[in-house]
Amino acid sequence: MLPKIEAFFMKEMKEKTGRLAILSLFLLVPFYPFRIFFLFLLCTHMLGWDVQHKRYSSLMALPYMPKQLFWLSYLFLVVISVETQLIGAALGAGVFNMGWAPLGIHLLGSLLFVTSYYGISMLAVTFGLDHFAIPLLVFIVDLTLGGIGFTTNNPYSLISPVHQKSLPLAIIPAVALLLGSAYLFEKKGAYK
Amino acid sequence: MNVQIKGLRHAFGAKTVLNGISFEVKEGEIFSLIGPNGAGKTTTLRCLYGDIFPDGGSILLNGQRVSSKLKEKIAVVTESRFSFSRFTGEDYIKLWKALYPSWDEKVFGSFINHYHFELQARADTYSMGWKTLLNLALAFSSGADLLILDEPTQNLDPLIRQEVLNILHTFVAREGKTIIISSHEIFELEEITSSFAVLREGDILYTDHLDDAKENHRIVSQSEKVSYGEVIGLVKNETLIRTTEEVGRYPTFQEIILGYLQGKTRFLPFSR
Repeated sequence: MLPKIEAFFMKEMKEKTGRLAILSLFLLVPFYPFRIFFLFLLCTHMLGWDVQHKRYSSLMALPYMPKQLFWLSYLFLVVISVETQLIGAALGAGVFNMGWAPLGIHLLGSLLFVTSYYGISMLAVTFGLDHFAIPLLVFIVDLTLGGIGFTTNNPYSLISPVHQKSLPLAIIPAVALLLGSAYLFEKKGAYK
Repeated sequence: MNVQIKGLRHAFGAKTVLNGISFEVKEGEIFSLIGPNGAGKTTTLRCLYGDIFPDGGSILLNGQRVSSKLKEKIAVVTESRFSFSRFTGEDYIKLWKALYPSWDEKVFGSFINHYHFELQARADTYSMGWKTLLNLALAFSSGADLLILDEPTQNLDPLIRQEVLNILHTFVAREGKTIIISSHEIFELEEITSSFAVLREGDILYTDHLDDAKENHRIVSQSEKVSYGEVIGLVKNETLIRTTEEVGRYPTFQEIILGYLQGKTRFLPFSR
């Protein structure tokens, strides 16, 4: 499996160099609300982008199965998110005297966000829809709905992938979206 | 590698592309899928290597369904050739080496020495002919037991075309490998094909071994009388019939294909 991971990461790094470099630069900013927008762009430039831009067929001509591509792309996304978060936190601590304390919570928050939106992007392409427009629509609705009122009168804000007012509860939709999209992608593939 | 396809069906939305096709390819054969544009050749190949999930039917490779492990024994040359942007020839080699455990450096070295590929250049700057050739070199060097080739001689000059046909023939004859080809080039396929299927609008019109197909058909003039047999189609001013009766003459591979594809009607836009 290791050569397959290496080959996939090589393909991603080579093909998406420019985008990854720019996004990674913005993702170094250790400020969650700012970071979240670039995490969203990162999520929509993973396997969903490959499907939409006909790279998926080329990948499938190689010794990969849809399930492997799904999880390899997710792994790549997680690696970039965690890496930039850690480097960003180190820069924040070193240059701006920011504390390390919220790192764990921010890291988990970022992971839950990318997990949810990767799942949404993959669900979109599984049903033949746009890898970017559909997640963007969900993102706007999620941002708006979760921002209404307070946690006491808006239970949605507790599980919202953007607002995550309760981290333990926000895990539920994130995992459900990831596993649900993985299941459907494996069963249906990228084409109708 | 044995390939068995049974009742394969697929539709893109409301458009049916494969209408329950079945055929079998035995180990050590070169099998050609022949048909006009939109016949379903590429879709069949894409179903074979798992790019498309068929709506129905089954595909068995050596008696098993396609898996990640099995795919390490399958090398594919797709219709689009190389499509990863910013990839150089060297990047593709790295990718294939990592993904095919039986990669044969010696075979690939021979291709480099003979064709002098510009491996440092970006593959998207190559001509279509060079893309095809490098893609074929990668497939032959992969150590795969089954090659799936979509239009493998398209855009190649006549000399290289002949070399590729020789390589394909040797690859199967000497190495005992299996090849499935989709192509329009019926004239050159006759040199290498062991068995074939004629596809039109998602249906297989005819499938057989090349020698058996020639044995079981005759070309007769339109005035010639035949006591038994089935009229297949028109080939120029003659008729292809399916019979073992000693009439007319044996058809060429090209005539068999044209007879099945042409059918009994002739298209002449200028006739009155």
